[in-house]
Amino acid sequence: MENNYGRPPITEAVVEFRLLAPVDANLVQRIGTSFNSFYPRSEDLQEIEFQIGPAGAQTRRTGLVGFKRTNVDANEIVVIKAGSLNIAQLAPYPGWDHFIERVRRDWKLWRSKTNYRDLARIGVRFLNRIDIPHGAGEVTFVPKDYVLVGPAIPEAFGDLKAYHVNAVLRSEDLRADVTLNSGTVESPLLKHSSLLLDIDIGRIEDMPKKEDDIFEFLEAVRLEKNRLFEACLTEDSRKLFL
Amino acid sequence: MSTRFSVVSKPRPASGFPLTEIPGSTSGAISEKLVQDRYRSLSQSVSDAPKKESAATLEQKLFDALVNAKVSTSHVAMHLENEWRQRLFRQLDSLMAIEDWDASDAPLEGNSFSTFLRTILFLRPKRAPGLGMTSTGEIVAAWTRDQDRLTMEFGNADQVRWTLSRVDSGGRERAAGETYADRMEQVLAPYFPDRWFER
Repeated sequence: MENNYGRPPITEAVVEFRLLAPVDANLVQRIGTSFNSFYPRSEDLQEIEFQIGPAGAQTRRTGLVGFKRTNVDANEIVVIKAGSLNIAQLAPYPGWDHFIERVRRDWKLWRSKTNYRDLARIGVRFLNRIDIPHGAGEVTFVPKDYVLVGPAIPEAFGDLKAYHVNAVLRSEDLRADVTLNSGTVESPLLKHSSLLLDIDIGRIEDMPKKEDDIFEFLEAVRLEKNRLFEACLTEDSRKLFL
Repeated sequence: MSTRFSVVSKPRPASGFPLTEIPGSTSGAISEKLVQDRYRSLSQSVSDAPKKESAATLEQKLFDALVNAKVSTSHVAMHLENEWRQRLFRQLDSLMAIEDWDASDAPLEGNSFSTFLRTILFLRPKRAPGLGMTSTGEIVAAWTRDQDRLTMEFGNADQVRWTLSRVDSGGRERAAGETYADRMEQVLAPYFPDRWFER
């Protein structure tokens, strides 16, 4: 459905595979290298430990936890850690067919390197930013004119300047949780205001094991994500993506 | 008490849309604040590193600046035509090629590039500009039509310095100024900027 828009508001799409048992650090290194031909640029991911005590705060680097690899245009990303594989697409979003093809390619490579371990979670997350132009002389807008997710606040409080809503809902059909985030965000465009609409669908039970089942689930998630996305929008919002 | 976090040690551009800071679930590994200890090319030989330390550092800085610019562009990519974006990336690749780099120059400033993007998306010129950089890392855009030239130098926080030179029946006219990106339209209006911006 996102392909119907000329300018889809998707700023980041992510598919996550999380392992039930993490692999060891050496294997993480080898997995990272195996993605070299698809993502030539690599960045080490390190973890830092903070200790807060009577003597103040101390930090200690605890080691490499994985790799973030990107393509030449820095909009196709894969994050490889001991316990997970994240495949992400930044804007411009090329459409689901293109994205899921890359997911399948990377998943196959990762699964072969991790020896087909069981999954603990499969998730799909789409972050959308709706950029709303200010009218002539107008610097405010009513969020609910664009996104049908927002806080319920008594009118006594006056004009809404900023908000953030977080909700977790259940999709029994998918046997998955749906996490919805929406709120105001700083707009990267002049004379615009922006709203975030972030939909995450993740499953942690009855995990599919076979490739066909996994990708069938992802396809079902995609349809549900599109349905929910459309349910959150107004016509004024849709006009912005044409 | 010990608390474990993952953090980003590398500063991100001051402006732009910090998507990766949004707390969340699926993209946790991406959303987490992760230390960018260093970008590196896996193809780079580790044994070469000590003797090429200064060159490697410069290469790394240029690479970081280039990636930051491309990620900043991705934040607004839905508002850019693909052709425009691809041309911009080719220009950036060329601008920050280490082979032609003067080591005394600063890499591209993220804030300057953000001002550039905001200005371009506000003015929406149909003709893409030629791009250059100052020695302090600020990006410069130039449009030329016959003998007429318009140049913008992009600073921090939406500041734009501009100069123009145009010829009409009355002779040559030059003008220059400094303003904010959202004022550029009004500031340029007396000089008929379509001569530069239209195809």
